[in-house]
Amino acid sequence: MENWKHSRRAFSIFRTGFDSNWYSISARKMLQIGMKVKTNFSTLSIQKNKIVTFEIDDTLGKILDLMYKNMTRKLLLENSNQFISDRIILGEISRLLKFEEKVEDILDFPVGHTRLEYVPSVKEDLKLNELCSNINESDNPCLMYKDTIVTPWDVCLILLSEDLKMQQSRVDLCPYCGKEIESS
Amino acid sequence: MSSSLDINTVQCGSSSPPSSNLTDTSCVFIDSDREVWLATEMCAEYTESSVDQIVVLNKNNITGTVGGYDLLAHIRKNPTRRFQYESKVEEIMFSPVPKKV
Repeated sequence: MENWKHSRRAFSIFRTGFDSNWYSISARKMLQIGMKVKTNFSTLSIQKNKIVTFEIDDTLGKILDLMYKNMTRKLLLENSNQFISDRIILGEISRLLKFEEKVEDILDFPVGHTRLEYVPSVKEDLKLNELCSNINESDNPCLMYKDTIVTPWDVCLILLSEDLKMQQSRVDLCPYCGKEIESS
Repeated sequence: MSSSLDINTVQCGSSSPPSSNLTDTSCVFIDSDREVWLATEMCAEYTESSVDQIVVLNKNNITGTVGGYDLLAHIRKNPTRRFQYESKVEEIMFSPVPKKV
């Protein structure tokens, strides 16, 4: 994750030594670590990120300018809980290439014609494992908490934080059913 | 980091076979001489998933990766349909690949 932080690319590939296949790991996978560990973290201490918004009349070009200027992958439609992301834009471009032959300059396409997605939100304070579970279970890997959008990359930064303290606990497996038995 | 997050705590240690946790996501590949439109389509499918980026192969050797950032950065420079159909993945990919053997 330190390497990811420096390269600004949350993606690596590796081999396990058990076979010759290559496997990948990304920020989203790190949610599984967050789901498993017990820490002192709660969303109350989450750093507030500036939410970048766009207007329904904007073009894809304007949206991309905002994304690259603010170094963010998600933009919220102003006064709403709908967002657009790099993934949605790529899907829209694929659709334009297939079905909108008259559109020559992709950046001129109005975002109002794009199907936006809804960002799930939580109001209550969550522990790190709960936060990660919520994001992981969501179709869109993000969560709105108060005025901040939390993404898997934010979880990586939380896991890297010097302030994060692990809470000691041991997880044993039940010898009969295989489920986790928690003991402190 | 004061809190040591051992990767083994999530069952990904080198002493045990790959589990259903960190090491179970196979890479998705694309040949370096394929057109950009195909990478766009694949990234629309995989971006933000556990895969997130597509690994680029040249004669079965890994030469780079391509993800949403690379594609959209190039679309900003070349927002035409022609660029998508005529440019090759090798022209826009990120290299070297962050990998660990």
